[in-house]
Amino acid sequence: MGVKELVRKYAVSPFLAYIPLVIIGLILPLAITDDFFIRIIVLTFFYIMYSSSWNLLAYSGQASLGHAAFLGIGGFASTILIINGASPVVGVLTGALTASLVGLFLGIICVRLKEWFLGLVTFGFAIIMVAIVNESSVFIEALNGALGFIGLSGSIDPHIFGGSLGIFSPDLVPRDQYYYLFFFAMMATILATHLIIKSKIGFAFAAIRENQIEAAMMGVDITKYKLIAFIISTFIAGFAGALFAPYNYFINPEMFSVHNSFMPIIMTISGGIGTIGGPVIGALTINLIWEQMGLWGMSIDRLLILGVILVLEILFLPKGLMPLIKKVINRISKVMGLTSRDMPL
Amino acid sequence: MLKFENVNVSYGAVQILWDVNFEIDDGEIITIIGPNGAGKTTIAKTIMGLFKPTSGTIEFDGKQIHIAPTHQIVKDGIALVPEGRDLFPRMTIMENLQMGAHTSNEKKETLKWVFELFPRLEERQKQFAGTMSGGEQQMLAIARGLMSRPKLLILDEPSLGLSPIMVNKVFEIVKILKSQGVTVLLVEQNIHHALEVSNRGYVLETGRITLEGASSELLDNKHVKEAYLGM
Repeated sequence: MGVKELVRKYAVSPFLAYIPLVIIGLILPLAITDDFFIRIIVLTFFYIMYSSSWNLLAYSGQASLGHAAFLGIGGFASTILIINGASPVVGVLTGALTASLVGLFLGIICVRLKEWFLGLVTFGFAIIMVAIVNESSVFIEALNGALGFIGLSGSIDPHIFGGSLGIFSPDLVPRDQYYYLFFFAMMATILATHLIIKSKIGFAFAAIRENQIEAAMMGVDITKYKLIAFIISTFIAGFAGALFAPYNYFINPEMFSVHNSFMPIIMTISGGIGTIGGPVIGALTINLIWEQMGLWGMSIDRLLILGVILVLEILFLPKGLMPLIKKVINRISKVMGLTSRDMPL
Repeated sequence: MLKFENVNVSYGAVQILWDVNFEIDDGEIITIIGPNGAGKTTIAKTIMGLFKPTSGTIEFDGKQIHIAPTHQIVKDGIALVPEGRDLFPRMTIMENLQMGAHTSNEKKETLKWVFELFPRLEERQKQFAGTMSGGEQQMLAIARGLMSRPKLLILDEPSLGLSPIMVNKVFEIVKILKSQGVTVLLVEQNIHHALEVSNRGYVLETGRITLEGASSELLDNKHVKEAYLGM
C-alpha cells in the first residue's frame, strides 16, 4: 500500500464526517424556533467542549476528578477582565490561558502521580478553588459584587455585567446568537482534538497511557507530553468556562462544584472514553436526558437516575455508545454497498 | 560506539552488576550470554537509562549516557526490543510502528525498509498487535525498534518462547541486519544461535563478565561448552 493511500485512509476520510455535522449544525437554528430548545442545544455544545477537554487529558492516561477547577478559573478570569473593561475576545482568551497556566502548574505537581493519587490531587484542587473564591474578598470586589447574587438565580438581573460585555452583552446580542458562537467553538474543539489525537502528540499520549516505560523507550519524553496534555486540556476547559459565564449572565463558585467536575466524566464514559466522538455522543445523550428529566419536574433526584444510568452503562456498555454507533454505521454502509470502513470519528 | 566502564548497578540493597566492562564497535554484532538471573536484561535496561549505575560510566558515541533520561538515549540512537516484546497491544501494527518512529523524521523511507524486512506486517497493518502470535509479535517488536533508525539495536532475548521455526527467522533477521551494517547487541540464552551470528561475545555470570572473545572462540571454549552447550 502506498503512502498516498495511507494518508487518504488516516487523514482525509475522517474529516468528511464533519460535513454533514456542520450542515446540520448550521441549519438547526433555522429549523427550530423554540428558544428553550436552542438553549439546551447550546448547553450541549458547551458540554461537548468541556467533555472533550476532559477526554483529551484522559487520553494521555491522566484522569482528572477536578476538572471544574479549570472551567471555573477560565470563567472567573475572563469575567473579571471583561467587566473591568477588557474586550470579550481578550477576556475569553486570557481566561483560557489562565486556566492553562494553572493547569501547567497542577500538571507539574501531578507528573509523578497515577490513577487514584492523581484523582485525589485534582479533586482536592477543585475544592480548594471553591474555598478561595468563596472566602476571598478579592474576587468579590473584582466582580463588582456580582458574587452577591449567588443563590438569587430567580431574581438575577441579566444586566449585572453591564454593557461592557460587548458582543456578550444581552443588550447587543440576543441569546440565540450564542448558538453560532458555541457551535463554532465546539467544532474548533472537536477538530483540534481530532488533529491532536491523530498527530505525533496524540500517539505519545496513547503510548504514555498504555505503558509509560515502553513510551519512554520509544523516545517519548513522558514529563513533557504529560504537561502538554494538561496545558491543552485545561485551555479548552478554561475556554468553555469563559464562554459559558457570559452566556449564563452570571457566575458563582458553583462553577467549581463537584457536579461540574463529574459531568464531563459521566458524559465521556457514556459516549466512549478515548474516542473523538465519545464526548460528543455522551454530552448529547446525557444532557438531553438530564434536561428532559428537568421538564418532568425532577431536580436533585435527577442525580439518582444518572447514577443508575452510569451503573448500567459500566455493566453493559463499558466502552460507551461509540462501538454501538460504529457497528450500526458499518452495517448501513455495507447494506448500501459502500466499502466497510471503520467510522472515522 | 558503546562503552561500559566499571559499571555497578543495584536494585535497592542488592547489587546486580559488578564492575562490568565491555565495548561495541560500529557495525558489530555483539552478544551477551549467560544463565538466568546473571543480569543480562539489567545491562539492556541500564543502557536505556531505566536503571542508573551506582558507579561507572556508559559512553555512546563519545557522550556519557548513563546520566541521560531514557527518551534522550533513544534520540541519541539506541533502541531496545525488550524481553517479552511489550508492544502496545491495543494499538494496530501500523500504530505500533508509527510509535516506534516517534523520534525519527524519515518515517516513509523507514517504513518501506521495515516492510521489506517484514512483509507480513505490511499485510496485517490494521490488525491489533495483541491479537498476533508470539512470533509475529516479536517481528513487530523488532520492526518497531528499527523504526527509530537506531545506530545501535539491542535485542533482549528475542527468541524467548518462540517455536524453532520462528527462532530461526529471528536469527535470519539479525543476519540481514548485520549485512546491512546495523550494530546489534544481542542478549540471549539461546547461546548456540547467538554465537553463530555474532562477531564477539561476552559471558555474564552473577553480574560479572567472566569470559570474552570472538564468538567462534567462545563456541570452542571448554567452559562455555560444558556449562551452556551441554557438550
